[in-house]
Amino acid sequence: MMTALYILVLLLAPFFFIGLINRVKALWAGRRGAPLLQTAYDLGKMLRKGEVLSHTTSFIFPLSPALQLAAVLCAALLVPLPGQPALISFPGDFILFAYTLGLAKFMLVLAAMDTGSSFEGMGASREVTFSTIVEPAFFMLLGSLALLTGQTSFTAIFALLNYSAGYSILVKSLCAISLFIMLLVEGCRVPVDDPNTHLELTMIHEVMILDYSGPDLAFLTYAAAFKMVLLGTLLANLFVPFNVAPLSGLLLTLAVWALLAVGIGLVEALTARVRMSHVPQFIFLMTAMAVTTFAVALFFLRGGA
Amino acid sequence: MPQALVGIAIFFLGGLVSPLAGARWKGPLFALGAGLAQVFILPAVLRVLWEGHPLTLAVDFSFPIGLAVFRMDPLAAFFALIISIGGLLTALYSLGYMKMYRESGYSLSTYYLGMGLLIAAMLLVVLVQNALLFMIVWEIMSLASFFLVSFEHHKEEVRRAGVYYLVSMQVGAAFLMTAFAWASTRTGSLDFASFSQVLGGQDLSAAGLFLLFLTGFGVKAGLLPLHTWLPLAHPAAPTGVSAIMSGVMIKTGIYGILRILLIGGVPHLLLAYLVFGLSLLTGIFGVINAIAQHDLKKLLAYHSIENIGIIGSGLGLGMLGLAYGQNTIALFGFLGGLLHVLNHFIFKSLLFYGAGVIYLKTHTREIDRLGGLIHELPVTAVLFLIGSLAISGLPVFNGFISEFAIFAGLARSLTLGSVSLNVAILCGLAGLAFIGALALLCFTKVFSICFLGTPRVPHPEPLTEAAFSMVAPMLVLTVMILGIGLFAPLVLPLLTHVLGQFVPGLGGAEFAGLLALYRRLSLAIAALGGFSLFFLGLRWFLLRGKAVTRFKTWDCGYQEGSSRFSYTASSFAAPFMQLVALVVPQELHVQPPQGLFPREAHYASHSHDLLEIMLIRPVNAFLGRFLGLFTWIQSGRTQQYILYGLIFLVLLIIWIMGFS
Amino acid sequence: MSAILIVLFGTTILYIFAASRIEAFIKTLALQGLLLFLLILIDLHEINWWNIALLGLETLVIKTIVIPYFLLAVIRRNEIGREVAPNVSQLYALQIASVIFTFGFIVAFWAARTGTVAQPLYFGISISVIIASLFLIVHRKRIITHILCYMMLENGIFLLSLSVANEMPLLINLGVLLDLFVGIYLFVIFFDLIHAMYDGNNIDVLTELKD
Repeated sequence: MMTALYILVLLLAPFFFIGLINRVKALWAGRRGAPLLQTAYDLGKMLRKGEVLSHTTSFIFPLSPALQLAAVLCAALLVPLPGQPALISFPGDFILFAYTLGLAKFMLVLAAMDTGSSFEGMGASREVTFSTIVEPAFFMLLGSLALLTGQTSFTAIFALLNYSAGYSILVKSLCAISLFIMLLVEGCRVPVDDPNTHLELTMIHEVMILDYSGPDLAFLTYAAAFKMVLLGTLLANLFVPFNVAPLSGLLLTLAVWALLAVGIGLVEALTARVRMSHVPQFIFLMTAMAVTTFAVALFFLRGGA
Repeated sequence: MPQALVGIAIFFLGGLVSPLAGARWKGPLFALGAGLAQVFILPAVLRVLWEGHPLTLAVDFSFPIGLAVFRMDPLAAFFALIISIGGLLTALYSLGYMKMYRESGYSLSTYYLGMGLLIAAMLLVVLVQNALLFMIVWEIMSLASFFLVSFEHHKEEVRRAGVYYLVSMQVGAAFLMTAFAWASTRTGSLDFASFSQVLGGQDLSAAGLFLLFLTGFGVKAGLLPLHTWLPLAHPAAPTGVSAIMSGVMIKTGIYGILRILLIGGVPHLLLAYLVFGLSLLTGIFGVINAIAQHDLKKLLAYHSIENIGIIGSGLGLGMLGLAYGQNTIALFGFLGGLLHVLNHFIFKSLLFYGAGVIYLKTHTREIDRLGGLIHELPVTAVLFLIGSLAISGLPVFNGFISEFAIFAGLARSLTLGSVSLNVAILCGLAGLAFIGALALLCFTKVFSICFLGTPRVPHPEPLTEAAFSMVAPMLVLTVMILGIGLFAPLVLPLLTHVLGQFVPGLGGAEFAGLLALYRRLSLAIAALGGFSLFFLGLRWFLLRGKAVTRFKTWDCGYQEGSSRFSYTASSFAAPFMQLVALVVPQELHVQPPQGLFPREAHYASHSHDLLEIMLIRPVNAFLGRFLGLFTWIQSGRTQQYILYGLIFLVLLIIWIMGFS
Repeated sequence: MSAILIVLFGTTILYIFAASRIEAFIKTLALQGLLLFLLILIDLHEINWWNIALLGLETLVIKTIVIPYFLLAVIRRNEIGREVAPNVSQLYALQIASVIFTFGFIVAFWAARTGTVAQPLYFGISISVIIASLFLIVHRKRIITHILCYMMLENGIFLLSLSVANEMPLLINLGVLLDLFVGIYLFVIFFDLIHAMYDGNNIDVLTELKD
């Protein structure tokens, strides 16, 4: 029963998440902003429409969004929520998580290149370049968590993460910062990319889906938002203890998501897009954090309790 | 065991008859021989893999070799399986591919003779247990592949690549001969089993011997810094040869290292770290250079180097597990490494076959001149896509299964508590993740530039799909990719006995735990498949009755679009190349547009292999200068040389008579 | 009995040093082949029948009949007659030949004394044949002569293997056949390809091939 509730909440969260981010940005800019569920209305509209496909594209183009959505949902099967273990869990499942998201990225890039447009090629090229920096850092982060807890699956790690010892808070904070940066990169938010425009300066994710329309675009938008919610869930797991009652776990998770959305909104409102050649440096921050996290975990594990 | 030898002989004979056969019959005869050989080899191989008892045959050769033992233990059976199937698939592929050469007037006798010799020699390499006989068949393998690489010897770059390859192989063979000589003089016997006295143990001489073997076999496998021949030899050879070399032959180097490991027993800790670290560096270096390439086959060659790095890191992890006495970690490491040997053979052969089809149809290997091939070569495109997905290690395909094993093993080792090990594991995790992300970059680039979009250089006439004889091997490989990717728990038990050789005391419980893990992994992957079908169905349902129209790609209002605007491979890779500019030196020839209405502009880039520039060329230059001091000995007169020999002979006889 | 054949064999070497006609050289080679065959027959009891068949084929058929016939045909077709005047005159060459023979006998005596070989006389003569043929290659200038000296070298090695071991390892047989094969192969190359461009009389021209 609780599981079904959790799944429902998880599936509905992306709409609110994006809605909240946009609301925060609008409010900060002095506007009233779109309704919270605007994304849901947009998606509903798109699902009812037909499609326009390009002459240049092949069968890969229409297949890609469905495959991406499937991959992202499959990754969700592996992620636990506070108070609710993951639906499928085994030692090393974080590897499948990362590579399934990688599969989604592969399909996205292929579809983008399929159109033969140089805009989409530009976005694709930058997207894969940034992922080369993000992936190792993500694995290092999870390595630190595995080192700390001695377990290698998401559910087991979060179940054992001791939140009362002093150094564990330090490790978790460092982890959280890195995951936040990863969220910004994977969700294509300022300062990495501007989700509102697709000018040359901000051509990463938005530009890859330029040619999509109708149900395909709906799938893609939802998949992207869902991916952000997934990473947000990992963050929630870091801070909300695992052994709480399911209902309070759910409420705490919602609170963390809301806080995260507000945080992202504020970052988007307050910072400007970093110059394209400086974006890798920004992402390297995540790598540096990850190495630091590992070093801290190693140090405390060897010296402390 | 004798049946397997008969099978090997049939492979060889298939090649031997080709000079006698008519031009159109050489191919089919060789393919027939290859197929017939499978009937003899495969049952023996499968029996050994399934039951675990080695097959032995001892033959007494006269003086120098002595008693030679041919043994097929599970490790040898595993490699023999790969070699044999690889030979069959290449024979089938060559039926269609070599037609191009036959029609241009080449004689295919050399090709098939060399191929038969190569496959027979490779099979013998994994079977013999006698040092001298091993060196003989190793050299035969190197020479046969040299002749195959130099098939188009009227082209200068092919000649140079062939000679470079030959010299590299001889350097490796020199290390091997030194190592074997050292070992056999210490033990007094040429048999491998006797070498365990000198290779086992933790003393310095065992480590030195291991390093010699590692260097010798590493040249063949393509480990850093001895890899420089790979990117030259693979593009120069015809595609069938590249596929066999990349998919099968470099694995004999890995086989050699594994055999030495088996003979030596538990390795020294520092050696395990060395293999692990070197393989990681190899993987990273290989894939970074692959991204910089714009020649399709050279790119695939660098990817082979990368995958050898992945295999080596699996083996290194296994060695670390053995050194620390942790059976589970050793199990994961060796499983990952060995399975990746098989997986790499499958998807690399598939990719090379696809590249061969591209070359056959478009007559170019330059990626930047291709594009839009998916519309004209749909079958090849889909198969190449599956190969690309597999090599990037993505789930549903076989590459993920082996990389998962290595990652899982790495993650488990974090629980051991040794600081140096943890640092190594960190580097391993980060390194392998980096390699994975880079492989993704590279293959999205390759596939999308070659097959998607619009043709960058227009074709004079429309292209037709490849012949069935070329598509059939690719289909077989695709089935294998999907089979291992989706049904891993069914395939893994085949490796039980191979792994049991490396991880002593491997209990049924540990292996059962491994299988249970993979079953849950397959469940998740099956869920992925299920979701995909669901969403595809949903899409179809939603679009029923709705208008789906075709229009041109959104182009921001440009009136005159052109395929020249679309992204090229160098542009795709440019952001990344800027990040790693120190590691991959690039040479640019740029003539920028000048004036208000520029007429002509020009841009060419070429990347160099850093290790070749920093390491190989200075050594070569030094050797050239040093040996140049002795050129006076070579006067060009044969009689003078014979005079040298005569004087030596007389002096030798006098010395033997007088001073012995 | 075998000692007579061996010494006869050695004398053929001296004859070759003295003669300057190519045809004489070839016929002497045929005689050497026959002598080797007779020597094998005499040592019959020590070799197994499989080896005898192979050796018989090698000596009687190939060395005595086939190769000399083939060479004579080529000679006559290309109208080659005599050896060109060498650098060192024939007189001195003959003296060096006798020195080589002496050296060979010294080796034979040494081998008999130390007892390491089965047939000391074979050993000594074969060493001198080998050295003599090497010297002859250095001495003479025509390419055809070099090929013939090479065959003589093979005869010497054959004899050496007869002397050293009681049984004849298959490996040495195969090695000798291989060398013969290569010799003929090179010969064909010379006479079909190189002869078209260079005059086969003087080997000095071939220094142009040096890189």
